[in-house]
Amino acid sequence: MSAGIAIIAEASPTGLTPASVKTISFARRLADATGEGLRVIIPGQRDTGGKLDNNDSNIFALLEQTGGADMILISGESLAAYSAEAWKEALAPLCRELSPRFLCLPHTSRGWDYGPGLAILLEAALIGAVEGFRREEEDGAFLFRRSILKGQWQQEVRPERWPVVLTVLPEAAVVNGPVKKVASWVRASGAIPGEAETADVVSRETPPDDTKVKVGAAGDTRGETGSGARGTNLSFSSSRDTTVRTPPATPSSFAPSRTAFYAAPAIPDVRCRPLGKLPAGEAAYDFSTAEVIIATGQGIGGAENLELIDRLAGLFPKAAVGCSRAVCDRGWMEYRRQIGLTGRTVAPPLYIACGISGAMPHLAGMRESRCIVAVNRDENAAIFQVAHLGIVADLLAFIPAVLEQTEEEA
Amino acid sequence: MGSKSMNILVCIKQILAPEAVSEGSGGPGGSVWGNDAPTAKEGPRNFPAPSFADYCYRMNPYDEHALEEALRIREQFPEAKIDALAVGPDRCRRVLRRALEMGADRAVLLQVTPAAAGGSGPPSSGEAGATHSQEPRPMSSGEPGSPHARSDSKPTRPGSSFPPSALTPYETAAIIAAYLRDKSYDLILAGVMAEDGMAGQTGQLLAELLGLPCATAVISLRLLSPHGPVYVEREEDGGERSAYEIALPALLTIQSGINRPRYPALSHVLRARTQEIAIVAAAGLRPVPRERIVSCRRRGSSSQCVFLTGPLPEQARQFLDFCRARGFLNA
Repeated sequence: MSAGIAIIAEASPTGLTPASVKTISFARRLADATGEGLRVIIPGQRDTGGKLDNNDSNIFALLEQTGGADMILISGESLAAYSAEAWKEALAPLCRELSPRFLCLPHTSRGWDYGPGLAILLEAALIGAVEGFRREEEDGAFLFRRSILKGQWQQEVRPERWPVVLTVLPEAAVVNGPVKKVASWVRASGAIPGEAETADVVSRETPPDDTKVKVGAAGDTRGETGSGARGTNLSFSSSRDTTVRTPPATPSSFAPSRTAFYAAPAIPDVRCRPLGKLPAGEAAYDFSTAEVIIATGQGIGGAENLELIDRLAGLFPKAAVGCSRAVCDRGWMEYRRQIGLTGRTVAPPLYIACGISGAMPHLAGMRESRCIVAVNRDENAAIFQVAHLGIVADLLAFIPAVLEQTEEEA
Repeated sequence: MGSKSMNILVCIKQILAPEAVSEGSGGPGGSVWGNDAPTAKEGPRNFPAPSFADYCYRMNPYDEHALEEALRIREQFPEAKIDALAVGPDRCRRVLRRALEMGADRAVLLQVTPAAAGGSGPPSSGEAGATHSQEPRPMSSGEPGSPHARSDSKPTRPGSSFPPSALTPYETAAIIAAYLRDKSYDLILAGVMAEDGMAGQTGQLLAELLGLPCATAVISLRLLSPHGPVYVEREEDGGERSAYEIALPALLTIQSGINRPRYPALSHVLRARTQEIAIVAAAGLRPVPRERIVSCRRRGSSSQCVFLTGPLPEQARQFLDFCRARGFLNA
């Protein structure tokens, strides 16, 4: 019987990606609801010394970010550069072995790339772009919420089998309602309860049978093999620095913060060969110093009207101009100005969304902005869901009205 | 593959245009979508059965990019053949007709018939409207190891308005995979996602069911030979790109911005009138669902958003005051 909650996190040079950390936070909410334990799986190419060498992430940084959940590092040459094929091949056997009920992936360009295929390999239910969940009253079933139709509508999806693969949007991590509880299993075992608290990883004692984690001068991390490892269908690395633990027979026996290493199997017949990242043709536009970001969507109507946006931006001392994907696709602005899931993620003190409907991919790139003003003709536009100040108007009338007003005042 | 010509399949979804759902208070019949409080007790089975006019449906824009990419490959390798495929009720013929007009060689509709009493299902479903025509859909209780086997679920009443629910991406992919079992395509293209359902899963699911390598969000595609490999660039977070070399046969999902879909040439429009759309009854290909859409509703109004009112100059003044009060504008 499957049990537990596993997260497949993505590592970056500085640790886990923010989307992964948020996915862990969402998974913790699920754990609160089910009382199940969490395990964080981190694929990557691991060097000796406990580093994901491709990403150079230190395990201790990871430990802090995973908030004391068990960590499983899966490593192999095939994982040096991302490909869906390699990730699926590496993760499917591991997931079968761990047999979680919920498998949470960040809804990133990777998560939704390999997630569906992984779900097929695991014969799992699959729900994408999850924004939250609730339990059905009558039978306690989990219902997962997601947006459709440019975010104006929401649907709830109910898994019909285990396991369930979820790709999780960052906003699913937001806790609304009562203060987040720490799962009892976490509290009982004295693990780090949440990302808010500082973890003292180094001094934490690990149970004797667990993989020991210590900081060495070279930052090396070694595992010592736990006794009684049972056979699995996974192939293990034989490197002396690498310790392999099999997952415990039952999740409940799995104390927090244990680290296990797995070797990813080699792929006999590579059909999708990564050729590497492309040098950025055009440097991404630097939004980081802007106090105000004026972003425009299709509502601007055409490239000839962009001057209005520039003039609006001109009112603010530290403003930058960005846009939604639709504007780039139409060739009105360059892709380097795109804000959203496949563009930049920004969080300025003030974000002014002009003629942007607010579909999920755009919201993902700007919803953390401290203050959001939205101008849109459609009062039902999803952008108003995240806005603090809403103006239901045609841009081509509103911006001239603002400019006129400032001229009058001057 | 040998010397046989290249076969390309483009998967096309007919979607409900988001504008159609957004305008007015919810489509024909006013509150026809007003399923605002689907309670657990009523169960998910009471979707309204809206009917939208034909013009409310159109080809998923991302699929237009996929079809355009196929047409460009055929310009490069003129012996290539392009088939367009859709899953859904009869009205989906229109998008297939459009695909023929754009230049597809053949079109096939995997037809899932709407339930007798049902309409088009929730607005997530371009290809919706489908239940088994003869019998109600199998429920979770039919699924071994189902997490939510419902002992209390009554046998479904024949002829009742049992959920005229959307096909989930898995169901769509499984239907296509079953149809393709005895066919062979060198390249399958699909849009990166459907504009209505926004799942972006069907392509990857289909690839896995067929055992094909797959790349998503393809923003550039190069083929040096009809036998492959295909060189693609896929879009990643933050607008970065990664390149891959993929052996054929393969499945690619196409991101917008890769091309500009053409308008049908008059000659193609005329030719398309003489072309038949093959119809394949697909009810028997439908799998046991692995997940189910249980409710669908318009988002409530935001609690935090303060809307400005009054004439436009007054709103403009309030907007400027708002910005000044927070120190973004010099007073």
